[in-house]
Amino acid sequence: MELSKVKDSALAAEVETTTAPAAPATEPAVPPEVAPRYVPDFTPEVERLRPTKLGQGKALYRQVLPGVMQVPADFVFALARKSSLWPMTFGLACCAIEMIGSYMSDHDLDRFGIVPWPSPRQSDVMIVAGTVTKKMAPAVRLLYEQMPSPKWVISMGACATNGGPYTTYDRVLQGVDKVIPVDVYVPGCPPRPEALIDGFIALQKKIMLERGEVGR
Amino acid sequence: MAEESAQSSPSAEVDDGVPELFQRSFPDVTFQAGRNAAGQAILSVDRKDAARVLRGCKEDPSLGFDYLRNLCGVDLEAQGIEVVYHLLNMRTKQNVAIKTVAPADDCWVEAITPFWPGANWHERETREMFGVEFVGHPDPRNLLLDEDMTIHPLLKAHPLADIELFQGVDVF
Amino acid sequence: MVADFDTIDININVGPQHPSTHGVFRMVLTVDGELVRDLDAVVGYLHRGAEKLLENQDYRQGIGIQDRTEYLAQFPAEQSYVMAAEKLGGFVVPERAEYVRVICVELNRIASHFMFMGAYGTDVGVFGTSFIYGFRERERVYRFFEELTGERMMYSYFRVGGLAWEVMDGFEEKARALLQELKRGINDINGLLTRNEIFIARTRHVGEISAERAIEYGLSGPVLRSTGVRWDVRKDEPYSVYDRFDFDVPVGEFGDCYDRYMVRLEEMRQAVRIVEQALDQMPKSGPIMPEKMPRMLRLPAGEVYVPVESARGEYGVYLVSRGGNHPWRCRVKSPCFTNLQALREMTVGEYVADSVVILGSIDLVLSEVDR
Repeated sequence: MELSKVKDSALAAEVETTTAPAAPATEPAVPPEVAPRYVPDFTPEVERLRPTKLGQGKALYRQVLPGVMQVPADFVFALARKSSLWPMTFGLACCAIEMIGSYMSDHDLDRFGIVPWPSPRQSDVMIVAGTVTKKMAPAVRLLYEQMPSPKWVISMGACATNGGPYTTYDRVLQGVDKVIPVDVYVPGCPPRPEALIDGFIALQKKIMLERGEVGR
Repeated sequence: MAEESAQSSPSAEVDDGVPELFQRSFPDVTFQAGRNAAGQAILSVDRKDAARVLRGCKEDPSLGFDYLRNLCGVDLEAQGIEVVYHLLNMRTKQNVAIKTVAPADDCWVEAITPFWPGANWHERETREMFGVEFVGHPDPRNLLLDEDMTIHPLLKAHPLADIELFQGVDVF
Repeated sequence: MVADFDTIDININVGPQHPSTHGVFRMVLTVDGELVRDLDAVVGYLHRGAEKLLENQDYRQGIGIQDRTEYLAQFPAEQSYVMAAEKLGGFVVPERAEYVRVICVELNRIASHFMFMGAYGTDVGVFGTSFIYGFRERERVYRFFEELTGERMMYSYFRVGGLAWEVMDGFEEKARALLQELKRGINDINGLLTRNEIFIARTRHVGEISAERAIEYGLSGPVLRSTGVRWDVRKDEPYSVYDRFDFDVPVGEFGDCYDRYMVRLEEMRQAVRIVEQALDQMPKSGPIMPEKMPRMLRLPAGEVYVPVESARGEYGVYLVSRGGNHPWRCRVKSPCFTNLQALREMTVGEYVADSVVILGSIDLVLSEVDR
């Protein structure tokens, strides 16, 4: 009972006068809160619950803060980049239908963090799905240049890889890698949604492998 | 001129009276009649009469072929480019194919777009694919090819592209 | 007072990459404020030379090219090509193969219209929900066709003379089960869009075209039928076994975008009717190819034009043969190419936001336009 702080007020005087007579009238010398009737005894298990010994050579911060993980910064950046790849919607031809089918509920791509985004300025990946003709190639290159780094390109389908079934027509660009650099090639005509998901997982592995490199 | 492409096939010859109908409406035009494999009439005309015949098809109530189904070109190598018009009469359900040939050295036909808006893009595409000039077309730009290209891909003389072996591009 | 200002019309480029252009299509709008004064459609960004390649491939390789020319409703495209070759060669397709062909074509039509519903809802503003509804049903059709042909999308199942191989076990039960699920899906889409106030406000009396202008432009398919012209190639020039089925042809009234949507919705229901009748009438066993079909097909000289009612309109193949095992000229007359010519007339005088809705209502497949 710390009455030193309230000694100046009238309330302090009232409190003092109410408790003062109670103490010497009915109790023995020991106040009731000092001698408890029951005290629990934990001594047998103090030895059992001693924490485990940490191995030799661990950093001090791990001995002091055992739940903390220290990783290089590029690991974290690569993890963040691969877990939320936003592709720019760039469906050109038939492969676009399978790409849209991959975004839909049967083969959901949203669970990988992949959200289709119409604007090139805010997207990470460009999925070139379909045949690139020589009339369209300047537009493809312009859109690639408008994307900010870090950026990747998935070439989906046979037509974007090397021209596909139309490769012998001279208006068709034999592969989109003639104008932009490609990271992952997904074969098929058209590739199944599972194949596109496999391509995305391969791209995620590639992002982790090349973390820390200049330009990424 | 049109013997090779106007052959009648082994299937049944249907007489729907279409060549006679045309000869009655255009007594001064010489038609060469044939039948295609589905039994429909093919009428070949000279290119100076073609636009007039087609205009009559559309505007003459006795003919009434006012639905243009198809307009395309066929490359007959030495003889030139043949332009084919497929027409339909929706009321009597008769079909007719009208053909005209533009010789190789003087390759033009008259455009029917001024009175038939449905032929606009077909004529633009035929012009850029074969090199036939459509005289009187209001908008003779390239449709499917780039604006400044002057190649004619569907000619038999235009080659197929070689498969390029060098893949890939210098990154960065 | 606004009329005293000196204004000019600006050009807006709705470029080849755009979330609403259904592929690589470019239109240059000349607008006065928000009103569209002129429209210039630029196509050709997907010109892959299907017609030139068809001249250099034989009659079996060409079926694969036809698949990819119309990538949303592949079976009508295949059917018109094989029918043209059959007419030139004088082959008669066995009855069982004809029935299976009709079933495949009509199921494909339903799947294509589901894609239209999905994309059209997204254009109008639903943005994603209608796509998921549409693709749920499309995935069911994909699974059925994967069992039948081995492929989800580019089937190459029809051959000149009949089919490539016999249908799988349980074809009829699986088809009937699929139809039940598709009926439920049609009702779902109907409930989402048909009486939706915003949908009606955005599509009623937007992009109207009259029947006379539609015939002048040579439009076909749901775009023509929405103007009131009752022309359907399946009914008016019957091919295959379509004259044995009892089905209606839905026709619109005003020729606007809402009518085109309703025509397609009704067409889905009629297609379900056709498939049910075909399953009932199909012979239980029989050949699927005529006897003594040559392995390397050589057709006699001749020419033919075969129109087929595809999901988008009249898909025609004009085949010229000079003997030999590949065509001399194979012209693909695609419905979207012809329908797109009328876009300018439908859009001039409407607002910029309506131009996207009108473009969506034509149900564009650009590989058909550019071939």
